[in-house]
Amino acid sequence: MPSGSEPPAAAAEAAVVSVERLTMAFGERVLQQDISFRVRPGSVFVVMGGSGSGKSTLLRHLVGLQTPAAGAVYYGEESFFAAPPERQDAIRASFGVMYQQGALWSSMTLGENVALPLQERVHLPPHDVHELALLKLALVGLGDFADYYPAEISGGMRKRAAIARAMALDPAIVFLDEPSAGLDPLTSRRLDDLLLELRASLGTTFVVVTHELASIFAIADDSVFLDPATRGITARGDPERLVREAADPTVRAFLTRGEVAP
Amino acid sequence: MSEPGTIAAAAAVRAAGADLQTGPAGAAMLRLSGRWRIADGLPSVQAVLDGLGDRRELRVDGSTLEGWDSGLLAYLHGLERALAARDAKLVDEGLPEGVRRLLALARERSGAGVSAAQPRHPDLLERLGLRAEEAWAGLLDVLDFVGDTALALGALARGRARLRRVDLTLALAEAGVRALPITALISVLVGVILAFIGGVQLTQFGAEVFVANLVAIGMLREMGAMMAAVIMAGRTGAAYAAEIGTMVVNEEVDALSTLGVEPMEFLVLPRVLGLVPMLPLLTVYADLLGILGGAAVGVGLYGIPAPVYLDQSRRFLSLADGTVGLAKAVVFAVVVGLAGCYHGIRCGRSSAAVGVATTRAVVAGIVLIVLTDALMTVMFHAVGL
Repeated sequence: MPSGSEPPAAAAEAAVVSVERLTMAFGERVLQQDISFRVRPGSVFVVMGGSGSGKSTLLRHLVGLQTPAAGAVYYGEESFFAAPPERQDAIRASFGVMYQQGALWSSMTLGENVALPLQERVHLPPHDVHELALLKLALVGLGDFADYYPAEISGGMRKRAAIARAMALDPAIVFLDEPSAGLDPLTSRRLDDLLLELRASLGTTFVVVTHELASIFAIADDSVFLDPATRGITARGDPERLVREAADPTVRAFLTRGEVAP
Repeated sequence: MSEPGTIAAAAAVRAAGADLQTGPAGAAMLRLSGRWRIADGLPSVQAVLDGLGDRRELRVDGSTLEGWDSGLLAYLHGLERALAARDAKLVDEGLPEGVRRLLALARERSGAGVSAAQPRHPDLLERLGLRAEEAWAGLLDVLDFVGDTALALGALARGRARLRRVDLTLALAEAGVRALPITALISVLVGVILAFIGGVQLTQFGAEVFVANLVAIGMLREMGAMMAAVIMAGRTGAAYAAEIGTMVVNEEVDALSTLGVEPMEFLVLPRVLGLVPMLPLLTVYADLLGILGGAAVGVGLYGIPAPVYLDQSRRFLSLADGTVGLAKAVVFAVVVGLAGCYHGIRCGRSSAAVGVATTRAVVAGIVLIVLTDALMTVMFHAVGL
């Protein structure tokens, strides 16, 4: 078992999402083996790691798009992959996902993109759906762009619209795959502020996959570091603390952009 | 929790009724209460606006709120915009801290940054003009594309074009061997249909043996090439548009251009050149199978002995019939290939655009096949072929 991982039972605190002894593999190729962690409610949990460490794949497992080779993903006390389909759907209603490229539906306007989850999950009159969609877009700074198509706006705007869509239903948990990749520092900073603000005001839990250092230090309460070499979690905890105290030199190097050599 | 909607509605009623108090400065107070949930729906903003009259300030008190989510935010955000439109403002001091912060965020970001240009809605005449301009520009663009292809072909002839042999091989296989089963099925059936409709008429004159002539000439001159080309338009032309269109969406075509590689040479030439030799070959194949299908009907249904049927077919066919069919096949190949590649290259930058490009490629391919066929039929007739 990789160093740094501890049995999940040790953390007695309640978790909104937890992963137990999860093994991710593509056929014969094992990406990560036996990883476990828990995400506390109302926290910003960051999944770190270099390219190819399986960060995005882990996210796909968490949201149920990919079945684990072994192990389980729990929402509260309920194992997602062991749950019957209708329970799985209920669990899906409790989270929102922002995909790496935004994954906005290109045949719909931004307003329609944000409105679709509302139409699918809660039954509201069109006016209310419209108002809610407008609010979500306004929160990410796109209040004036509801009638635009994804192809007509910039990449950063698409990412923000994707966050608005992920937040459409006020989900308890929001998963974000590389939210700040490809954004300018100011936009990226505002995005971080937005996450923190939503967390503070609505109590949302965020699980963020990223390798943007500035963003990691700004938002993370807790984290895990996925190492492709050992195929396990080599560090966990608040990144501010890990910079100095991580046992694994690779983690310190990662968090200091190589200034502390591994 | 109570019945959905009732609490929200109560808030609206109170706002418009007793709790909308007026002060000396023309202010009013909206008291919000209960639990606000997205799923319960939003009360109408209009009731508050009506109750407010021409006052310029609306204070909101949330001290009796029991719970809130984006539903409350959406309501207040909508109310605030409606107030702003009538030059009034919302004072949110009495609201929970979180609500105020998120409202501020929505407010600040709505106005900040790049302002969106409102989409214009031109009137009928203007739209007509724009369409005409578009059609003209489209025509020029097609000519441009055909010209570019010709230039790329010229470059290839002079040995200056970059054409990967593997792309050409793939295109040849895709337009050739892999199209054999579907072409076989369609051609046999077309032969059968021709024999049927011909037979029904010709038996009335006791001339059923001429079914063989009808099928053979019909397949060689017209149907063989046309059916093979229609299959190619639906199969290969569509694939070209979808492939190249997806490359446009993924910026792969841009990557080629910035590398100095001409997309016309790299993407269009191998595909069109793959079709040009293959469609005539498919046509020969379709002709033979069509005659076979016709023979099955002629022999089986109209009792023409097989040797007689085949002899009849052979004797009445001339070299010209075959040549005409093959010449058409070459033209169809160019038309289908260009239509597929053109719509692929001119694809928009979204997944929906790829679908549009594919549809257009198939429609344009088939329309052009029929159009060029009609033209060539007239031409060949004029020169006595």
